[in-house]
Amino acid sequence: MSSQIIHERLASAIDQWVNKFPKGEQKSATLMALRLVQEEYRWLEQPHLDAVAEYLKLPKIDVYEVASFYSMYQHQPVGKHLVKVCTSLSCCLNGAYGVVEYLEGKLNIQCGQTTKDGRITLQETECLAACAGAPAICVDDKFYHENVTAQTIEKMIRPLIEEGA
Amino acid sequence: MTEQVLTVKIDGKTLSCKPGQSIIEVADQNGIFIPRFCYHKSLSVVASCRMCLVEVERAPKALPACATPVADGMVIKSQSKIARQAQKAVMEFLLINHPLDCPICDQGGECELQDLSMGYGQSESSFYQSKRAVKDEDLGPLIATNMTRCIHCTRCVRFGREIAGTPELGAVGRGGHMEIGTFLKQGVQSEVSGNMIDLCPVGALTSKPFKYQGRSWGFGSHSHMSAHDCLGSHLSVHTQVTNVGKEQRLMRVLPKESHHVNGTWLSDRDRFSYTANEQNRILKPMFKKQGNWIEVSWQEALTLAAKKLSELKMGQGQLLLSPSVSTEEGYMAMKLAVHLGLETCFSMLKQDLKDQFSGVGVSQITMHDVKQAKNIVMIGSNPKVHQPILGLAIRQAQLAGAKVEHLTASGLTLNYQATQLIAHPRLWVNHLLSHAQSQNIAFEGIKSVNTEVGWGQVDLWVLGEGVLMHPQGSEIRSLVSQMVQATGAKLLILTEGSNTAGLSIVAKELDVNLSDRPYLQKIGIHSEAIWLHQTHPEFDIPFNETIYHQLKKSFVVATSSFWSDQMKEYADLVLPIASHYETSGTQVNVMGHVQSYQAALMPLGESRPAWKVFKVLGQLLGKTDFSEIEALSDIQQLMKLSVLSHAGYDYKVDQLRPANQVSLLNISAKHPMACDAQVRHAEPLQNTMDQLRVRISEQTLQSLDIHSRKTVVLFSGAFSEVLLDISHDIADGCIEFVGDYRELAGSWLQEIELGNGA
Repeated sequence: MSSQIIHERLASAIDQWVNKFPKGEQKSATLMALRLVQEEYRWLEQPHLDAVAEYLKLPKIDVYEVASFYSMYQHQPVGKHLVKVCTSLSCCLNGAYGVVEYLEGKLNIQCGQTTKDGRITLQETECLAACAGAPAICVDDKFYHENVTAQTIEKMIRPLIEEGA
Repeated sequence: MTEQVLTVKIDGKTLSCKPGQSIIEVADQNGIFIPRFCYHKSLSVVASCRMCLVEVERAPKALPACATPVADGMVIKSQSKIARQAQKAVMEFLLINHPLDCPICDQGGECELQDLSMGYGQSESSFYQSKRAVKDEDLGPLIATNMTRCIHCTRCVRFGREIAGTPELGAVGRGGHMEIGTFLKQGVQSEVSGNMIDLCPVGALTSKPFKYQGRSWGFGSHSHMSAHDCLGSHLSVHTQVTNVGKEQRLMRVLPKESHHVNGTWLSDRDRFSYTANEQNRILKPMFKKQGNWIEVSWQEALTLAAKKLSELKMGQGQLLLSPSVSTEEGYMAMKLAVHLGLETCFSMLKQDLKDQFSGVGVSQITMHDVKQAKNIVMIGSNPKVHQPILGLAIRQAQLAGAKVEHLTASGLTLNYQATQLIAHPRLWVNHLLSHAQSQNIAFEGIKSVNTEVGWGQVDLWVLGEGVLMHPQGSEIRSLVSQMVQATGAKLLILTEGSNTAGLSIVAKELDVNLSDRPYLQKIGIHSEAIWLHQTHPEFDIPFNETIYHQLKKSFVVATSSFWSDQMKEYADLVLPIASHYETSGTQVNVMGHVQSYQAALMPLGESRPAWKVFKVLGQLLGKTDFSEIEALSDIQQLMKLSVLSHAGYDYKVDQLRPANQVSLLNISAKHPMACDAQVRHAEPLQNTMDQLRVRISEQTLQSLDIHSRKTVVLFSGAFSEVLLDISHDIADGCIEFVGDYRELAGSWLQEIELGNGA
């Protein structure tokens, strides 16, 4: 049921977005609604998607399409920190897969997995719009690291690993 | 104001067109071919495949013809170097991931990609990496998938969204990972899903029943008509000659474009009912001798039938006629019935026949009127399920701004937006009267009552199966038609079967003795002989033990294409009749379109067209006028169908009969997948049904003192435990079966008893 997942506070946050669009065009709020729900629950499972569809009165498949298109939406449990390596064209040409391999070794996980302590998830992502600084990494959807090298990766990853340890 | 006319030039031809038209539309109208995959005239334009790129003078690069509107003086070249280069490049991209499995693909030979790759493809690709592969999804018993072949044109997705109104398929994922699917892996439920097979330009979505059955280039194509709803969709029936000219097989059925009925679409029921054509057929005349069925010759069988029927005294026998047979066949059967003094009935559902001859078969309305309506009220009707093509038309009207209201006894799952007024059927007449009062329409001698309906000024009334089965059906039909006369609105009275209209017209011409009260009550009283034509009473009429015993006691002659298990018990003589697709004839649809069709293939086994059988039977009974009929055209001349003098509804009710009070009313309509013998034998369609459940409200359960919440026991028919579906979307005092309730044919709009289950 949507009311259990989209509780009052979440609903009013989504409504703010719905109200920005003309009446009957609540479909436009799908992206933000999904983002708000993800911020609340950290990742989106099917009941979350269904709840958004029900709340916005949309066919379920409409929400599935959006949720599966954007790599910012997580569909599986993720760790505390998200490390996303861009593997689109510019980064790929500048050695993005070397970056992925380095991080896999460093964290002892495969790309797409989460470390055993639940601290870090490593993922590939589509273009981060940082082609001039390729290869690029985005941490926690907020912090960009450009022109990464083994040294800068070390510098970037150490605080995440050691944090609170 | 005169409409603006633009002039454009395509491939050197100067053409005039209207503003707002796209280049591809103008080209199509003028017979200029531009290749395309995603564009379809009935769907929205997405311009995603880029196959229709053309050169437009003064444009910097090739433009998609489907998404570029024409402008005055535009010069378009679809065959220039720039255009051809662009088209070839697109084709190369499309073929990167498309498998080269044409020899084992069902679409082979009628594939748009295969055709266009002949013209635009190259023998070599500059892509050397491996092709992608996509896991297939099970979309149910009707659609076979091979998603690796998909080129992402999204025609199927747009069909679901725009036409069917049931968005089930979507484009999930992104870029190279994009896949067409349901995401939930739950299959598609749409009643018109088969159209996605036609729309798919490649072999990604193909027909499951037709899988690996044949190659389209060997097929003969025959125009025909569907016989499963009162609209009569136009069909293209494909047959194949096998075994060197000896045997013909019915291969598949596709829609035939028709502007006044089905457009380019077809319901799944009409599309897949052909699968029954060789199932459980009666192949030889059979006679039951001391409980055992023995084969007899046609000569013996007909002589025996004639002997039995001629022994009848007036009013001792009955003819139960399927409402889906051709008019010619019905004419001959009823002519015989008149000679023999048999009572005739072709209304299987109707419980109230007071207005039998008031032209209820034909409504003076067109499909265009339906799509143009602004305020539609539908009483006891669920066209999405029972007349899917009408459902699509109502949806179009609603999308164009029409207000749609339903008066129903239980909440309907619809493919358009509508207000639903859920009320017990015994209150329906009340609601109509209060609506009439709000519109200042008075009925002489009928007291009005006060309830708020709020329908406003209605311009189209649709009366469906709920009214057909309603004990006060005559009253509802009469009240609505009087309102229609007062307001100038349109009226559509949906009928059962495919040819109630045609049969009504010839029945009146022949002055047939139609039952004037519920047929079943009569059947229970007397009948020395019963003649069943293309019908199995255990499925086709509200059935019970008493009727079964009456059938067993009477001499039952069945002229039928299909066996049924119970028929073997109650019938005494069966004559094999050509199936619908093996029959030539004429049908009149509910909107009065008279349409003739030719048999698509030869009758199976020893079965014969019904009209020939009835002609010989008439001759054997010594009726001279039967000898004069030599061909189908002779019957057509006799029945004067072109004069539709009985159209319109003129029955006036002067007094309301009280609504019958029952404690628990079953409001289920006849199951759409059990509507006639052909559909009942079509296995793929039968497999689309969900598990049987009984829908009931919490209050009703409490008032019946039933405390179980998972199942209930049904006391009608076989004592059986049925799953419960407790819903607040159903009128109190009613129950409705959902899912597979074919076996519960017995009790539409009748009282029913329930007991405690688990």
